Amino acid sequence: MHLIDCYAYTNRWQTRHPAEKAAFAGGLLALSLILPLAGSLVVLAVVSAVTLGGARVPPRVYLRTLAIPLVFIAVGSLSLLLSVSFGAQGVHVGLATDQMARATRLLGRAVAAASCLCFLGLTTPALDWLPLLRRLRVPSVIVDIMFVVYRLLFVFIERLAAMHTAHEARLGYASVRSTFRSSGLIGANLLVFALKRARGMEMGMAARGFGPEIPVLPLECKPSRAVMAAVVLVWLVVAVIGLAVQRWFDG
Amino acid sequence: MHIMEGFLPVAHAAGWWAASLPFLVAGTKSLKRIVMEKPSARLLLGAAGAFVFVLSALKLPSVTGSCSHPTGTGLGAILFGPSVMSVLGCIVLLFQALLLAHGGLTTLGANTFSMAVVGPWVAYGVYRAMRGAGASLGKAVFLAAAAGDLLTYVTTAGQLAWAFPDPQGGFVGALAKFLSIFALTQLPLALAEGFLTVLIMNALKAHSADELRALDILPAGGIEQ
Repeated sequence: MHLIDCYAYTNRWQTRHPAEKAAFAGGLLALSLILPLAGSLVVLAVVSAVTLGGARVPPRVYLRTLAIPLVFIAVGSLSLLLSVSFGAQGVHVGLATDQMARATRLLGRAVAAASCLCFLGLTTPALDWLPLLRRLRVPSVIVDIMFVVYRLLFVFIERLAAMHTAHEARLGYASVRSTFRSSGLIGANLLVFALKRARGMEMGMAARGFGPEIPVLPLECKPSRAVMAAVVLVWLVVAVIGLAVQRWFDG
Repeated sequence: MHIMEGFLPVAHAAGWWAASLPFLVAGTKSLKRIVMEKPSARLLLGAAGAFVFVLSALKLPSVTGSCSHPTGTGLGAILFGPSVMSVLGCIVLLFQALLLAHGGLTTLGANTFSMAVVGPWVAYGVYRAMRGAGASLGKAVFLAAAAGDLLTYVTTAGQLAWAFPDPQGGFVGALAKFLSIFALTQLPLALAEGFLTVLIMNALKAHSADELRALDILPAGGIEQ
């Protein structure tokens, strides 16, 4: 399991206020859905430039992260070119070349949107979202549970990897039958481990007098006004350029 | 099957959010009640969420050579109850989007609906019905997990077909297209997931009856001893 979280802690904008990054990526994400194809491409260009040049995420990491959704997006877009219909002569399967524009539009939109998601994942540590969610009035139960999920995720992944290695060393994945057996045992052991871990943390927190809410320190910095203004400006510029290019292209 | 970021048009993305919202609100309400009664349940619920996230890294014998892994919705629904599972599933999907670039934020509503609402409720319904009809634990768990997995994929295919109807065949043509793309890989995968879930439940029952009892504090069913 390849988590991209580690890059969120090592990029240049790690300490920037999450609201700034959320506004930037969220706004462009919305624009990539609303604007025509040219607009999506402008979004892709801007987000890529900012991720690589601004946040200084290594290009290899950025491309590899973007490649994960890209495979699914490509297959999905290609499937639009395939036409299936039921007529008098039964099932008719054919190529729909007239759907080229629709498929390209979908491809552009999805890649642009995926780049916004990658920007968020690569620049902002997941824990930074939680105070923001609390500010947005997401019920505190949900935020608390998210906090615990995130904390335990890495422990469980490590545990899983260890059990996986142990099974592999004993030829646990040598046949179909043994693969099922190994995965079944690992799944069951993992749940037991998870529950024990939860009980341990439960006792620890009870001993320290934690109440119905897990308190966390509020964000120390505030979103900078200048940055927020710049973000809004970027939205406007992207929208205007996108629409202008599309108009020029349509002739 | 996760629908990737940006794949759905705005109206569909918003519509699926609206469809999932009642389930999330209901799930949050029952979570609130559990935590009010027992604050420490948060940790158990958090551990359950992390468990479901990590479950998708388990290996299944792959049929087509593609990476195949269980969705875990059936097991989660049987262990933790479907309404809690809706919220946990949504949280897991959000983390999968942010930590693995798998899925998306605008498509989170649609993915929540197929994987955290339809999957768990179908699995739980099948499990209950089978147990009520006197089926053995193994049979009930197998059918519940397989049906939950399969219906999740059918829902995803339906979501895609609705968003991208076929120019000639319309919704039905598109649905047939997406279903046949999935069917090759998903039918064996659903059976494999059902089988794996039975193995997990058997191992749990044999070795960890005490731990399972801890799940009793979770609402709406939970595990039957």
